[in-house]
Amino acid sequence: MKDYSAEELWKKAKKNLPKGYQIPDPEMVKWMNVKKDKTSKPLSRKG
Amino acid sequence: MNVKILIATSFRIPGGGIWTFVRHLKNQLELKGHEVDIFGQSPELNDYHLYNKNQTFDKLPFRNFLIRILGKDDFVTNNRILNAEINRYCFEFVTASLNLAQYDIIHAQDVIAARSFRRVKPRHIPIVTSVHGYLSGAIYYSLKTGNRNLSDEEIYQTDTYQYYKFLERIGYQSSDLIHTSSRWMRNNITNRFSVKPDKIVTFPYGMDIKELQQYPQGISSQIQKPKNKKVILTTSRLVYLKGIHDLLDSLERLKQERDDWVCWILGDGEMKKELEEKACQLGLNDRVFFLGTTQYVGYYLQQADIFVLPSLQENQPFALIEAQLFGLPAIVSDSHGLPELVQDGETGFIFPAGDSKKLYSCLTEMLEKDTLRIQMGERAKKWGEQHWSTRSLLHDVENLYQRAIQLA
Repeated sequence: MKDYSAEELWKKAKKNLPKGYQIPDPEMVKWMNVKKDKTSKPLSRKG
Repeated sequence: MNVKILIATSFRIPGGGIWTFVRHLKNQLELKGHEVDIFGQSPELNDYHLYNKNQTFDKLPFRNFLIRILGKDDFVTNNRILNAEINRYCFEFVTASLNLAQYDIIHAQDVIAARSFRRVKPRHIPIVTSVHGYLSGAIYYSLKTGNRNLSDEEIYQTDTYQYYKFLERIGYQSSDLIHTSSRWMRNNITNRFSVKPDKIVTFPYGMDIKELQQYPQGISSQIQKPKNKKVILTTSRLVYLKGIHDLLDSLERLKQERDDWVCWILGDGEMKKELEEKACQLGLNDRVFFLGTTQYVGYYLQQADIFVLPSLQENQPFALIEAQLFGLPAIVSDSHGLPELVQDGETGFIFPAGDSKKLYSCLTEMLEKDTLRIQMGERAKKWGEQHWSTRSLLHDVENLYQRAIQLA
């Protein structure tokens, strides 16, 4: 049996997430932008 | 000073090496009066759970919400990255709801968890991270398993490899202090990820085998050591990086020379079927037994004569620690952290990773020389008992926590 429903969890999560919390992780977005600059061709979907 | 600790991993618990470490550590810390909660994914991977409190948190309802958000992002170029990102943010939503302010220390058991905690925890709570394995190295071998025709360079260029390598980097950056159990892992982190050495503390794992020595009577009906044969044992996930394919090649040679052995393989994994077929093709069906996973590994260790670990990548495996404490001589590859654990010619033999001929020679020598094999096992046990002390582990971990609290 689950102790928390998804709705309860989401409410709790939103309340507890720090100010400025972002999805996706800004570090990951930054990395992507650097990666894009390094490669002129679009990313493949391999891997 | 007693503290309240959240020990957490983004991987599943119970199960695997992380669980072995966490279980022993929790016991030791609680004996000393500390309070410990354990958090991770449930074995079915549908939930996260606070293991010791028996509380579960469903992650599936968040999936659609996250797919909607992440679908727009350029770096989510395949399903593997998408799933990794979904898991990361689910982990963050759930851990944010745990009232993290109640803890004095967050002890992450992997870099992915460390990164997530950095994003959701109150600023003043320190994160220490125990690094049990080399994440992007494991991803390399996982990609290699599914793409044997790709060159190393092609694998390194895949989006998946590059994503995990970056995730590993920010995981280290997110940790206030890092614990490694081997010098190899320490050097790997400083050299490949430019982490300052003074941020890393290196001390060995601790292990108590009392619980392994207990198993139900009925288990002996599963398999027993055949008369006049020695048991070669390996305990390992059945994935490419564990090198079991090399072990089978060496056993095929051994079969042509001698009849005084059987091999027991404990573990499961994505290569199980492939390895079973290979064993069959090599004519090893009557010698090599795939026994799956067991919680009673002690039963098998007690009967074994030689422990083998032919890994292509390894840090400080608990399987080997357990084998040493049971007094088994070990034949291990020279992969990464392994040479720090075995003294070549003293407590076992070390062979070049991937070299099945050399592994065959080591097996032959150990099977032939009874006195040498027994002495090596005795020395391994003695060395293990000194090296894998749970008391030392507790002392080292408490110092690590103290330092992290002072830093914060």
